[in-house]
Amino acid sequence: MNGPGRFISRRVAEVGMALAGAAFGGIVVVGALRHDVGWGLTGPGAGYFPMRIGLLLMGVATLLMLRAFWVSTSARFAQVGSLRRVAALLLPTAIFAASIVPLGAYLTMFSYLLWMARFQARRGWPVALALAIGMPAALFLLFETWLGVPLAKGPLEEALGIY
Amino acid sequence: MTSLTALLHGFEVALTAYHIGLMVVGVLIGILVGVLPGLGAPNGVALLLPLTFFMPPVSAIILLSSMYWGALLGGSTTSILFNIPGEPSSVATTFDGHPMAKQGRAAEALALAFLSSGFGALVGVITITIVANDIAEFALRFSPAEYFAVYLLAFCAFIGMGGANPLKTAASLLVGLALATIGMDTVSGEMRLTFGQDQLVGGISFLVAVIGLFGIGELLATADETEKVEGIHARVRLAAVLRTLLQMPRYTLALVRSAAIGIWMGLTPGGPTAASFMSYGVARRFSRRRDNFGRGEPEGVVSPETSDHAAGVAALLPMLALGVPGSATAAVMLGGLLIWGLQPGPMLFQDQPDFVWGLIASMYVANLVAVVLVLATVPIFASVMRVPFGLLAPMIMAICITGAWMIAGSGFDVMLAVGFGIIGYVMKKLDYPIAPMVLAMVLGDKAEDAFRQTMLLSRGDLTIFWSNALVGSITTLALLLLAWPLLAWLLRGGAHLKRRPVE
Repeated sequence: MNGPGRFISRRVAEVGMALAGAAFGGIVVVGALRHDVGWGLTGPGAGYFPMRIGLLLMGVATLLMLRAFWVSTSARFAQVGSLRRVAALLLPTAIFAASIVPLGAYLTMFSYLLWMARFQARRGWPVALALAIGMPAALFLLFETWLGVPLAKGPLEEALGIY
Repeated sequence: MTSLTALLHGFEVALTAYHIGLMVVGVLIGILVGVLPGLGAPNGVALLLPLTFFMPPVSAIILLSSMYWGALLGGSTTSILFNIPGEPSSVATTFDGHPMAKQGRAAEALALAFLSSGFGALVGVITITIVANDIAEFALRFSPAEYFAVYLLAFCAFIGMGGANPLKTAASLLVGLALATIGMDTVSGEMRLTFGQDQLVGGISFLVAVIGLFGIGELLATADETEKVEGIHARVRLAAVLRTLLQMPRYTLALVRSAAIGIWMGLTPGGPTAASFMSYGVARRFSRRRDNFGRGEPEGVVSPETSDHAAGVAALLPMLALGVPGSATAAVMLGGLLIWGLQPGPMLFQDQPDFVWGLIASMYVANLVAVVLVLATVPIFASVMRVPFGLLAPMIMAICITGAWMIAGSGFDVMLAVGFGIIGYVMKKLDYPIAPMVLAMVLGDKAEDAFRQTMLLSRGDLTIFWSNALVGSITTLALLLLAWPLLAWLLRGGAHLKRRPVE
């Protein structure tokens, strides 16, 4: 999708988003068709409302797509450099989010913050370690001790007997 | 019970040491949330909501609403000092607030912003106090048809007056409505749009969506922009505040006009963001010093700030009396009400006077507390912005992820929040408004129920929406608002409208 100046054009992004909206509308319609989309015993059936929402969404998305082609623009959606910064924040966060169920919240948060502070933000070890230890500790005190709400637990927490 | 006695009773509820303590805590968390990028009022409230399950509802709503006031003020602080709006509704404040700060009038700009906010909030609460009982009584006459018409009005108002591209607003709304139908159907008990996935049976929590769209999405959008943060050091001294206070009468016209715009936009759901832009635009058009706008004109700070707060406060009334929130934050609070087991609507005023009037009374006190606290703590909170974004972002991400987990202790929710974050980032980049989606997710089920009940009553006859003067005028107004962008476009001879993004 990279153009000559290594960026994604606004038009491509607009069309892509409209397509995604239309596709979602299509999924909603397909899902609604599994139910009664007309009149049931208790008035409009379960699929009545979702099907119409889905159809409307497909209609609006089509208009948006036409508009994206019609309105002339040379604007950029994002440059490769800025997308790289976004990815540098998003990917570790997604990995962190995906691993809190199998590994528990504390160890993953420690690793995540350490990685972000030491290797992404390029801070010194003292700052990175202080953040990586301080933040989970603060959340532990707030949630588990004070409010009595447990965070996700993994094998490490189990081994240490923190419950 | 007249409004005055009800209000006095409300003060008895609100003015306990515990509740005043909650206000102070709420306002301070709110200012922090407003100052930090990626944490705004809607998802601040969403993050704090699970912690309020242990409180009585009135204490919970006082904490959450105080946080809202704090966040609105915190958002203005960063707009003025850093040219970075901490809240979408304080974007208009950057236009003149930051130029003022660059000219060395930061303290004056801040004091003006806070005092106008306080004025806007006060006018908003007074209006609520006066009209609350009338609106609740009015709403008692509502049948399902009127309720559906009001929901339709809320949706159409966003499309017609929200300020963003109407098609994009409509798309955002429709996606929200579709997401709201996921899970068990309340009427038939059928599983809708789950495609056999057990995790979807309970539906998608709007709290997860708010944390993703507003929190994670906002952080990704901030990471996208390179511009280095250059702040202006400011201390607000008491003398400067008093001097500004003495200047306030000069802006009487702007204050009153902006408060009126704000209250209107808050009551008919247009939201604080649209209100502040509209107020700024009106001020620029009618001001005698219009050439000075954009270069540090005090009226350009007073107008959006007054409207922003008047709308923020006024937005809570339709939320309480009709169950229709006037802003994204009010939508999250409405979700909170439902979780606390309260049914918003006119009956709330009869069944839970402590809750309703305790909240209204607390708004008088909390807004005062908020203005005083923000004036006193500006230097401290401004210093938070000097922490590099590279460190701030992962910390806020960790809070958002933890917050998504706290909602139901579900790993699926956490992944969903990240997914919503990506969607929110793209929406933000392409000027799709996010608030309508959240509003639709909260109201979707209620709107559908009202529609189905109405259709059952009328046996499928759509003319029931014009069957009496009340429902007929609401429905017609809704359709007019829906058609407004098209009408305005035709009236201007098809010229392109200048649009601004909202929330």
